Amino acid sequence: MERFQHLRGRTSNLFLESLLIVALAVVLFPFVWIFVTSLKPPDLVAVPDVWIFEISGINWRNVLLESNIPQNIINSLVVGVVTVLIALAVGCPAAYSFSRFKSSAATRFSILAAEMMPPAIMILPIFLLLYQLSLIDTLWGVILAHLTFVIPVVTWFLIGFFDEVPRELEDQAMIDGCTHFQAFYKVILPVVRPGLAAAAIFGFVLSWNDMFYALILTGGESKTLPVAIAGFWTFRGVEMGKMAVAILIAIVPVLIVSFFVQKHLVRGLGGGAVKY
Amino acid sequence: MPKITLENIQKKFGKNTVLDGIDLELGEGEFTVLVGPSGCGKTTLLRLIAGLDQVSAGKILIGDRDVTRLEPRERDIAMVFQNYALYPHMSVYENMSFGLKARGVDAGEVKRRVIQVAEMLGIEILLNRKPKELSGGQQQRVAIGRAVVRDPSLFLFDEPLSNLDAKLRTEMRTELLKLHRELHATTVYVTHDQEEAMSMGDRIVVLNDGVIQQRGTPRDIYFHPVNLLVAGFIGSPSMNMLHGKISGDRFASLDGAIVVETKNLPDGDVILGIRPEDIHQPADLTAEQHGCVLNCRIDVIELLGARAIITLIVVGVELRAVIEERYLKGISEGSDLIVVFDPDRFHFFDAVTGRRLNRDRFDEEQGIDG
Amino acid sequence: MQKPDLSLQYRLMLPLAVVLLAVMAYPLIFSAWISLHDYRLTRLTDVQFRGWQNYLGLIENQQFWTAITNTMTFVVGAVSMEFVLGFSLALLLHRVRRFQNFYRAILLSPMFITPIAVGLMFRFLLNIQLGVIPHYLDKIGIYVDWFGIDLALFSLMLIDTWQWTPFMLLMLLAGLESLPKAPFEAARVDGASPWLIFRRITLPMMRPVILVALIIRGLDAFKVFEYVYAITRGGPGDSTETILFHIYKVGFRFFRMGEAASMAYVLIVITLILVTALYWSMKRR
Ligand SMILES: Nc1ncnc2c1ncn2[C@@H]1O[C@H](COP(=O)(O)OP(=O)(O)O)[C@@H](O)[C@H]1O
Ligand SMILES: [Mg+2]
Repeated sequence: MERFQHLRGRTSNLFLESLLIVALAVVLFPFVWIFVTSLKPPDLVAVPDVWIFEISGINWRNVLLESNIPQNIINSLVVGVVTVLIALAVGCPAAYSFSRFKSSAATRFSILAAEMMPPAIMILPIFLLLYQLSLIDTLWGVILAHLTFVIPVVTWFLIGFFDEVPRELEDQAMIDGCTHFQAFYKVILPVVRPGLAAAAIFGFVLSWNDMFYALILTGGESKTLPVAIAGFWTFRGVEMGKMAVAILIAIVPVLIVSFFVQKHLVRGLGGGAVKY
Repeated sequence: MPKITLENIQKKFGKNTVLDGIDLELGEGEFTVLVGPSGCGKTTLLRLIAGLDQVSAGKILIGDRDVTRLEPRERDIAMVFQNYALYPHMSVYENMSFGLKARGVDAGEVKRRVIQVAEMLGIEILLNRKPKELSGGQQQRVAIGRAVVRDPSLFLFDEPLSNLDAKLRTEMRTELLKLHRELHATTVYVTHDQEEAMSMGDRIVVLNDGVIQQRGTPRDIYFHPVNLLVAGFIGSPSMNMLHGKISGDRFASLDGAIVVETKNLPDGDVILGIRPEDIHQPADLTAEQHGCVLNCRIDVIELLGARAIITLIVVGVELRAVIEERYLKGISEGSDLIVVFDPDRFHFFDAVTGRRLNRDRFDEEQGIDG
Repeated sequence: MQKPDLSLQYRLMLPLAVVLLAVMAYPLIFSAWISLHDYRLTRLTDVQFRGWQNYLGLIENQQFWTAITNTMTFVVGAVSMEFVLGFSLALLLHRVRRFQNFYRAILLSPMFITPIAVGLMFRFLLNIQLGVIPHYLDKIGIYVDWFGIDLALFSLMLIDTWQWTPFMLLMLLAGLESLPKAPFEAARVDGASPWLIFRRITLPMMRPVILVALIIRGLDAFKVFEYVYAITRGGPGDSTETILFHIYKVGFRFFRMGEAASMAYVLIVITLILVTALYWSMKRR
């Protein structure tokens, strides 16, 4: 950046880049290790040295063909998708309303406050409610619980995106012959489509990553992927290889989609406090 | 009968009164320019006419239809916004056809009209582009085209040229006027640029602080500003204002630098307004027009090309004058200069109320209350 | 702002209001009610009203205070490390233009993955017998028991730092990039030193972003659960028992839900204080 030009110089830049590369290594090392572990045969997993190994697909085969993990993946997918769809359906109109009609800062803020609620306060009554409705160990229970944090996040996210659409756009649409509601869904929604996608992905990732609610609300068939991963708690070599595979399955898709939403994240998270 | 009638429009945002008692009639086919400094309520007024905001009090009629409570889409108007408000996700063609489609015009007719208007504005080759692939001037044309294609009963323009560079702005100005001559559509054109207002309007309405100060032709407003606000706002460089007193048909500026005879003006504290263009070289005026001769010192000379703005100092008072370039020969900053005024071009204003005091034939005709 | 559209304003918010009321307001009220009772999952037919007893009981509940203290230590320690590291990395990335997007994409990646996976990865990476890191440290003569009683909480902070420094980096880098250039150029023309520019221009102008980032992260760190669950389960002793893990244990292991609910409400009060602080800091801008 020009504003720091006084610091500029080939040497100092090389030095700074080498610092970055150290940081890169710290970030990447666990990923590399887990990948390597997933390929080690069970009898080698317990050997700490990273470089002693032979490649074997046995862990992958075990996990994909002979374990419950595929079912857990489907559970996590279903929960994430349904949660996000509901969150978008209710969050989108509300976010537009928050953004366009001068809502007091406090109302806006209540959305953020809802997101900050400690899960401990929600889980007890949700658990008891589901218990009474016999919905413990069903995906509906997890979806209900996930809505408590995905809806506020998605809404908060979208407020930021709607704020950036110039007001004149829907004014123009209304002059052109739309009702206000038509202006909203024919003009404004298509304009914020990248924001919708980012909010949806982010909401999905939150749901996909949650273990706290799912741990308490699921048990058998309905376990989500993080709960299943938490089950690999032992040190037995067999388990560790499978755990590595399960972890990779849980994190790789998320890492891939995250690259697409990174630049939208700040806008969403900062909720207008930070302009990107 | 007038095309658009505003009756006693008032608009408040909370406790803040932004428009107060606006009465306005716009004739069929008339091009009215609404001019005023930033923040005076121009955009607010346009939005009220468009129906985007609701009046706090008053009535809006289009023809004899009361549209005060109608939605924007029911009013049959088109508006061009300062930032153009093109739909970013639609092509130029889709932008222009959106309003027609929303109104249920059939596809063939939509296509015919869009293409006709696009040709008229020279944007037919842009029809498949997205707004972000267009230059500022092209976006401007599309925004205008989108309004024209609708063939509405009223056009509203909100500072449409203010985002263009100076050269493009004058070009578009001419083009808009040509367009108006072709379409004869009733138009309200908002600008904060008094020069633009003077050059474009059949009629000018000067707005300040939410109140209409004056309405009239560009000539009326330039030569007969009804108060200090209008006088100071219209004209560039702006009018010289000298504080002084009238007693016994004689005006004397506070410092005594300027003393002139007056006719039919009441005694009291006044402000004398002299346009920089009305300060002349002795050779420019006939002897009988030399109502007042002043010997000044030249402080600053700003050459503009064929003309120059010079800042003169008389007994500690600054006067700005516009003179032709040929008079610059032989004078320089710091030298003395004799200038003359035509007293017929003097504007006297009440120092307290700011209202214009001198009445002439024009004022009588307009029924303006001196 | 438009009067006739007021109805639209509320119509658009209605679905959110209904759903949030159902999934949040109901639980909040219900758990307030639970917190005033001796509510045990094992004795659902015999629920006794206890008034403020659950809350008063917390005052003398040593484990609860240990959990609060542990959590506070964790939050302050982890968030400070994340802030310092995150800010340094943000300044670094802001200057290094080459491959910037690549560096950023990689450096941000930990914040997107499920915390339980992070917990488990580090549990095995740092394990004293099998872990890769102790194994190599051992080779250069350093012997560290990462999850022993002295270090366990600190190790959890390190893990949190690994996962969440990226969040700080994201926010602060965005903040840096949105700063206007003019003040920096002016200061440079005035001959200010880099350190002075940083202290007198960068820091003050970044203040709002810093506050928002610190508080969001702080609130989030309060909810730490997965690392504890994956690695230490509160131990050794109760050295890593955090508040959320403690509530989980009391409520879902011991089934004393009334007590757990009262703890959760105390946690809410703490959270609300922090959220209010966030609100004011943002509003003052
Ligand atoms: N939606 C609104 N809420 C509150 N005040 C407003 C609103 N819109 C405009 N104003 C105020 O009304 C005044 C006139 O604004 P505007 O009509 O935009 O001025 P102009 O277009 O002449 O520059 C300004 O002082 C502005 O702050
Ligand atoms: Mg305006």
